[in-house]
Amino acid sequence: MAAVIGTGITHFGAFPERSLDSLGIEAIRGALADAELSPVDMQGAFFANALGAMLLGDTTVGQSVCAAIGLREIPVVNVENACTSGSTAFHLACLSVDAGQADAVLVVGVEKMCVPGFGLINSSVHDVDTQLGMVTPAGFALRAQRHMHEFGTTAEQMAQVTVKSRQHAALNPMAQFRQPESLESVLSAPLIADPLTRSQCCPIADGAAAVIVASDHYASRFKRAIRVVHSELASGSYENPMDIVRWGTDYRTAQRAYEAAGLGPKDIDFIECHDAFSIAEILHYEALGLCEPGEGGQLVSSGATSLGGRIPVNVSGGLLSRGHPIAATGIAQLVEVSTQLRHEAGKRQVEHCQVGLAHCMGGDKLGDTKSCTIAILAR
Amino acid sequence: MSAVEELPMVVPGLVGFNDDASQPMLMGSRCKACGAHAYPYTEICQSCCGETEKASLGSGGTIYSHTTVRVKPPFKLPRSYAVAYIDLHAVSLRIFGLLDLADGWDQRIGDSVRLVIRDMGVNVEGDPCRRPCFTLVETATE
Repeated sequence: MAAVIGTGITHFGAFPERSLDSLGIEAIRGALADAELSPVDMQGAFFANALGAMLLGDTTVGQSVCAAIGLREIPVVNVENACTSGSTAFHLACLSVDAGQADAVLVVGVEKMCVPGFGLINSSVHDVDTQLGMVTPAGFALRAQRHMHEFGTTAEQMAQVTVKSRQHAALNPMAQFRQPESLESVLSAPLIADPLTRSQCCPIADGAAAVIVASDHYASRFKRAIRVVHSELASGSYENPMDIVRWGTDYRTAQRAYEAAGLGPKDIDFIECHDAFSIAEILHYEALGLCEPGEGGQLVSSGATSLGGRIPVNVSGGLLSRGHPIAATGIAQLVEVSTQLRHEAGKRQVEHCQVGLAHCMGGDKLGDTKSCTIAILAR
Repeated sequence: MSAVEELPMVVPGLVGFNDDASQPMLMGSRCKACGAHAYPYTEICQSCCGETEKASLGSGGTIYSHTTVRVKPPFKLPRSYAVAYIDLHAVSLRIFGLLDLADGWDQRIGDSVRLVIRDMGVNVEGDPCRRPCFTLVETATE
């Protein structure tokens, strides 16, 4: 379908002195250097940014960042799809090169969101649910309470997701939170929305990530190119009543991705998934078919999803510990998947990996996600 | 003595009243073509794009899940505020709503609840307003 031929990423964290443009430029220059290409080789750009308009008053940011590195006249698309802004930009890029519109295109995700007074995130101020108090942590806390009720999932199992996340992030120099954290510390952190403590909710962050996507033909001369087997993009169904622990949109998107790729969960060697909250990762294990519905808590406790386990998940540290600059995240996942498949991940390398999966979700509406993406890449 | 003016509802049209005005009712819509209900009211049916009519959704439900948000309340809601997904009794609909935390209610999945209206927080314009809210009728039996 397409290939990744270059990757670049900044540190993730709070960087009040850095501008949005400077973060994007850093990631782009990293990707170009990695691919040994120049800006002039890029025939298009898909630029993801979720909150620039709302927080900074900036729109059409992509063209500004491209112009800053000498990229003019080429087609630029600015993409906003909540947390799937980056992965949606990637999806469009793959379709573009596959259709023969370009040989090589830039895919960039940038977010600058560490501003004073940033409240809890919501999906749309004008949604009635938002005006009745829905915020994203509450949506996931409602899933957690129901998961505990239906399946007996424990607070300790959910907290273990964060413990694992911090352990992995300690091995990732670009991650935001790299200090180990004990189960007791995770459980005793301040509650955000019961039962989710602060340690079980992903932090806000500034940061940028970039990949260069090329057609299969153009990529054939790049020795470290990584194959894009399939990219899937879906929206929510907003059915009523919505089962909030057998997440229909999650299961459906996973099934379609596996079917299109001709693969199943057993064929995947490692996963980067949307662990915005501890319970989210547990739900995604189940939707991605790593275990039966309801058994996600047991799976993380067993160590199966830790580095060295049967199916490592979020070895980068994930959203919880690597950080979550919203539009950068989807691309940061692809940078990690590509790095792993190139066998260049150093201390956090998933040994002998051949196939990786990146999963992302964005937006809340009527008990469902608005957007869901899954990409499967291979050596 | 002048009548006390009620604060506006957070969003118009969310709540109506029963015949003797003693019990607030949730107001939504019902599709004339396929019969699906919606809350809040939608002009076009989200299931089949058919024409809708206003419909009462009753006032009672059962808690399907609940949580308490303890930091950074939006819309000047109370510092700790509780919310839930509620399965309505009158129609097949699961809705999102606020819970009235008066009387030290230790909420549980399966609790039976009833609609009330409370002065709570501000609307998108920043003006104080009322919000529909659910209060405990009967604790879950399990």
